[in-house]
Amino acid sequence: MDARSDTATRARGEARALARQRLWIALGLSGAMIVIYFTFMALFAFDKPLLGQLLAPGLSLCILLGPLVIVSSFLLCLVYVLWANRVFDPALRDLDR
Amino acid sequence: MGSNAISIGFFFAFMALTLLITYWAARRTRTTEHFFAAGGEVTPWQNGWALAGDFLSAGALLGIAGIVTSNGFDGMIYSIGWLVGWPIILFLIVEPLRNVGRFTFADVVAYRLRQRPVRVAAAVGTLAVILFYLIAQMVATGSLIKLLFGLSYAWSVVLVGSVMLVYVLFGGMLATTWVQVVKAALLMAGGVLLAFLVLTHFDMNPLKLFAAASQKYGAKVLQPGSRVVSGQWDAVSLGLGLMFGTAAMPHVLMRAYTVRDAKAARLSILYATGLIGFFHLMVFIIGFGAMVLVGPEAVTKAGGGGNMAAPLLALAVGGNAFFGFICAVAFATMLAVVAGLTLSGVATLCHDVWTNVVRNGTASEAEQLKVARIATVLISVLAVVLGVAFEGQNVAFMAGLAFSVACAANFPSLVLAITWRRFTTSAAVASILVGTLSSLLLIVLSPTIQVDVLGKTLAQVENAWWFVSLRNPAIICMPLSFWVAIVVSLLTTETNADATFAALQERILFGRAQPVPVPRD
Repeated sequence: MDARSDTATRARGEARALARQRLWIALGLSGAMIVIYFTFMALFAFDKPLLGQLLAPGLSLCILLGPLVIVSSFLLCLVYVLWANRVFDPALRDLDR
Repeated sequence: MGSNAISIGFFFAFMALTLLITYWAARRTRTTEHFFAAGGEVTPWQNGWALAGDFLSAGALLGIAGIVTSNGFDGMIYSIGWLVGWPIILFLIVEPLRNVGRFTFADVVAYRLRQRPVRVAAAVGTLAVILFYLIAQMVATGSLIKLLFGLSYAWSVVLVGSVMLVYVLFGGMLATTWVQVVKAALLMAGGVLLAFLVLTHFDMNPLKLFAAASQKYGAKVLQPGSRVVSGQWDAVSLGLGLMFGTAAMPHVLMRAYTVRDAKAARLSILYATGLIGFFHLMVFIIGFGAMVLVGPEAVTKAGGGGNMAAPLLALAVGGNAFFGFICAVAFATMLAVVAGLTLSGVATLCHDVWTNVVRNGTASEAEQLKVARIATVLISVLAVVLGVAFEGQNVAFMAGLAFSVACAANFPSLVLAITWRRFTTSAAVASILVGTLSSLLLIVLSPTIQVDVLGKTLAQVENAWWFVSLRNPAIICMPLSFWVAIVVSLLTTETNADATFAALQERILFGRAQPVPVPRD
């Protein structure tokens, strides 16, 4: 009886730790996305000359950075999904058993 | 016009295919689970395409391409803003949503709280978003079809309304999903081909295309300007609204329920992000291609406020058949987006308002399906009537308003319901209502309504005490809504909500297999 409730308590603690770990990773990645995007938007709003600098014929800083924001959103998603599939899901399955 | 016949041909092929799909789906739609969530049987890959189909409106292809053609780089601000919300959905929202909810995001907000007040408030927020977005889409659709096919405005709106009614009414989520998938595939194919044909003129090098554009129209087309987004804080506010509004769009969130589990929902968001991002990169090339190969003057002359950039480019690089194809794709796009919007409005009316508020969670399957079908007819009729009523009105602001309400009304309550133990029923209701009403109020007092719609001059209104110079209210409304939610939560206590927080967290992790708490209220 005691041993069983012990395991249950431990499982609940582990579940909470796992949930907390995911929350931190989710918040970290969201923070990264927010920083990337709003840095770009702040430059767009407050420093147009900087973004308008020409780096090469046909390439200005904003034309380089804009697509990079798009690509980085996808890469951040990819990082999260890889982590979730490889680390989070197996750990969750172990807990569920 | 020969091209008109070709586009009508393509269009009928699309209609025939999607109506066939609807017929097939109708025979499989027997329960609310099927009607609202396609029985959870959609694969992540299909759902990713369907999400892209739901989200990429005609504005994404025709609108942004047109803005790029006439303004250069600035069009990209919209492309980027429409994408950066997706990672937020993935990281913070989709898994709790999938594991806790059943059909709508109100399921999640109301989980620990008192069902009736929360669901009524969430329905107000959701229906406001859906209605504004639907009107914006309907009016754009009517005028575009008039332009592309020569059909009269009112008939265009009626046609789109009836076809979307057929999809949703008979085929529910299953048919809507497949319509989205087919449409997204066509849109993607059209976009890739168009961008490819443009690049063949420039040695497959986008930089040569941009260089040619700046040679012809000056380096300013490669630089950020202020014609598309005027004020500085307005730009930041627009960004806020696009990012967090996307993360709380009801028709997008609803797709979390069409797949098997949280893992599948997560994957579908990843695929959708990739598809939408890739598409937006191509639209950028298409816009610059139209600038160089067609010319902004010709695009302006064709009418439709710049929307003809992509079709005219298709005509220039691919001839009549390709022009017809792109027009048909645009039509398919509008049809699919309004179908998705209608379905999520129906889910709110039937599942939140009828089943959980009016009937207190006790309606039978048959009754719910009946109510869902009545709601479908209601929303479709409303969309058509409003679409016709707003003919010729400047409703561009309504799409922005939809995003603003989503970000100020839905997003704060959703995030706080998932993460904050102290969050209470009164706080959820207050935050949703404040978010909705403040967005509405600020738009009405802004130049968007005062100058663009009511036709006053800026000088007439800018000194009035009530005047708000921001065109995008998100930067005020979203923090306000968060603030109201937090203050009201701290002022009220809800023992029940407090006690069920652990159960909610468990459900967020493990999903619906866990015992469901007894419905309260």
